[in-house]
Amino acid sequence: MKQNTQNEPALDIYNLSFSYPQRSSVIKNMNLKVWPGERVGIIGPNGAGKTTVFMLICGVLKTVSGSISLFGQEVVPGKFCPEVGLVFQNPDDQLFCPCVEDDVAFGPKNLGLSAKDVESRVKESLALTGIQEFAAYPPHHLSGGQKRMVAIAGVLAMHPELVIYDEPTSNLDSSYRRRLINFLQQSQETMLVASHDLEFILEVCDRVILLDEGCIVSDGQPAEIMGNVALMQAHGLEKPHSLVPHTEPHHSVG
Amino acid sequence: MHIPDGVLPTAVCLGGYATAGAAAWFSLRKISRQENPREGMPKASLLTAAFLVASWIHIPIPPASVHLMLNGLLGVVLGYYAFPAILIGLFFQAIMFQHGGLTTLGVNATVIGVPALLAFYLFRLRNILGRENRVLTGLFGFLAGGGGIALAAVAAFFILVTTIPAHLDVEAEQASIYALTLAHIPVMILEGVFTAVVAVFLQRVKPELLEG
Amino acid sequence: MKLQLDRYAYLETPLHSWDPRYKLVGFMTLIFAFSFVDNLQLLPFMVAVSGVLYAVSQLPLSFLLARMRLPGFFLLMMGVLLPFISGSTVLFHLGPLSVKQEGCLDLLLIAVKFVSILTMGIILFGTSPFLTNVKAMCALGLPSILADMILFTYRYLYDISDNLKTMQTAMRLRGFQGHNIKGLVTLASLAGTILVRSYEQSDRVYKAMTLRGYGQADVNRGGQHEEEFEAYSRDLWGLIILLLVAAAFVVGQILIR
Repeated sequence: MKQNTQNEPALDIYNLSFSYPQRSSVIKNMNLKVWPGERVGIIGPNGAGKTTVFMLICGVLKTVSGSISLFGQEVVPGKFCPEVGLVFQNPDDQLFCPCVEDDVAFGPKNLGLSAKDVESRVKESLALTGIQEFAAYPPHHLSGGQKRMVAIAGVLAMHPELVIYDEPTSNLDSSYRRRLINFLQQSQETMLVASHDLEFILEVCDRVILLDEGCIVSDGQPAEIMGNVALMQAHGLEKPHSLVPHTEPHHSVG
Repeated sequence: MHIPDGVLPTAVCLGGYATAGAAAWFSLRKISRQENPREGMPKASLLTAAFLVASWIHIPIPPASVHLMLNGLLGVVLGYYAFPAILIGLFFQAIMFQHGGLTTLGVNATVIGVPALLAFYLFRLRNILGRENRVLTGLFGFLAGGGGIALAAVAAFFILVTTIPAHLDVEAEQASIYALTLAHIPVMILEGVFTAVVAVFLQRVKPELLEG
Repeated sequence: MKLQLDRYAYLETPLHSWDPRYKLVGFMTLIFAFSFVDNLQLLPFMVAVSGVLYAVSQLPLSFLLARMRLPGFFLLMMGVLLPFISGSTVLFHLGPLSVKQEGCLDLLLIAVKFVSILTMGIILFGTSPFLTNVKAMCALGLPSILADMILFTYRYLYDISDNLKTMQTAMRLRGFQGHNIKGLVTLASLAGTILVRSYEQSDRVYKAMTLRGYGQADVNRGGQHEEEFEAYSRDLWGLIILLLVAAAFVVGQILIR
């Protein structure tokens, strides 16, 4: 857990508002500052606007009002910005090349790197995510967990400074979930993690934001926010089991 | 409708490649003039795959079942991308399933792909009369779907009958073309109906998918 | 759905290690030369050439037969009329129909050409990974947008066909039989749903691509494909040999005529 040693926030969202043509006020006057090295978990019910915020941060969607800056630079919609990487909810949307190696190489190639640099980045990313053996495989031969790691490798190969993970544990079995937790705990990049898996957020993140109906309802320590039963229930969430004080032995033993 | 290898004279095959090349050039040029040409590419590719898969759906017509070609529907949904999509779809069918042929890829693409583009133009006419109207969508869908396969069938039969058997006389040739075409009228109606129903479905669920 | 056309691409034979660009050009030329043949006397040579190449490729015979079965069936369905309607020299009678010599020979010609060309196609795409062949086509001049479309279609073909199977199973489990007009409407909805889901997925894929810089590096692209392949003199010799064989067939055909 890095301490903030720089003046500039990694992510600075100021008075952000956004509407879709069919739905108004999806995001309402959002303000958020994320500092370099922070690991921010984003929790909230379905439809709270998490994926929309991510699309806005990446410049895929254009803001209606307000501004978003990444490391001091304002986000320009449509401009290729390798400083931020987004790991999509469904890896099949992200793994569009016929084999793993090519998919991980996609980002570096578009950065204009030389063939040798591309190769070294690919090797580095595959090693980092522990999937070297799958380099020549086509994506549909991989399991959900393996695909997830490939998607992460493909994003990391661009050396982003901020990585956004959208529901990274969905469809993962426990072993890959554990692997992902260990991996994220080791990561150096600033990250935003949206997840319904609250225990996962507890293990990985050092700050939590509760998002509902396009507004930030609460922002602070994970255990504090997620331990607040009234708050969680008011927004369609449950308090994670591990935060329930285990004063009474309620797990049957023997 | 897929003409296999070994059946057509080389000259016809090469001519087919020439016409397919021209049609591909034409379509790609129109595509590059669109607002956001890159954006259409993933859509066209995934829909090409979807069409390949959809054409495996068995439509039971007792006593047998039929696979539909859906080139009219391709034109309706993909517009100018329909020709490259058909070219690529046929390529996959030739090398993966040995359906169709490598020498005849050009001929097949022309025979199936050009009617798809014509079906697209035909379907676009409904814009003059009213895009939102469900009945019109169904009607033009029927015409596009039925017309697409009708043109492809007639073209394919004409080519086949006039080039293969060296020992048929002209009358027998003509009779064969008529007979084959007539035999396919039920299929044409079926494709027309199927295309109409899908077009109406898309109009309800995802109107932006209809290029017309 | 067996899409494993490059299942045996890992083998090690001269055909497997031949530069795919040269292999493509050589094979396609020979395939067209085969299609030019119109004379029965050249048929044995055609069979010999395709047979020898298949033997060199070390692809199992079962592979060839499995791929030949369905298309062979369709060809027979199409061609079975020929002996009855084409020609004038009657060989024998089958009830009211007469089997004519010219028709039989026409059918033989078509059948042998068909099998030979098919064999060549299977060797061509069976001895290199599919991806490599597409890159070779790019190097030979295929427009990049078509190459991209081919790769995408290939990538998502499995997923979409899995989707279809899942939906069909779900339909069957809820009692769908499909034998009437209503069945047609349901199947049309099934097709429509596949199209809509693919369309929506393509939108997400496009976003994922642009986020990783799709469209940025067009300048670099051409260069990178050329680096993929490195040809040796034996690759060129292989091509020359095939081109000579193809020329032999063409010349032979012209002379016999």
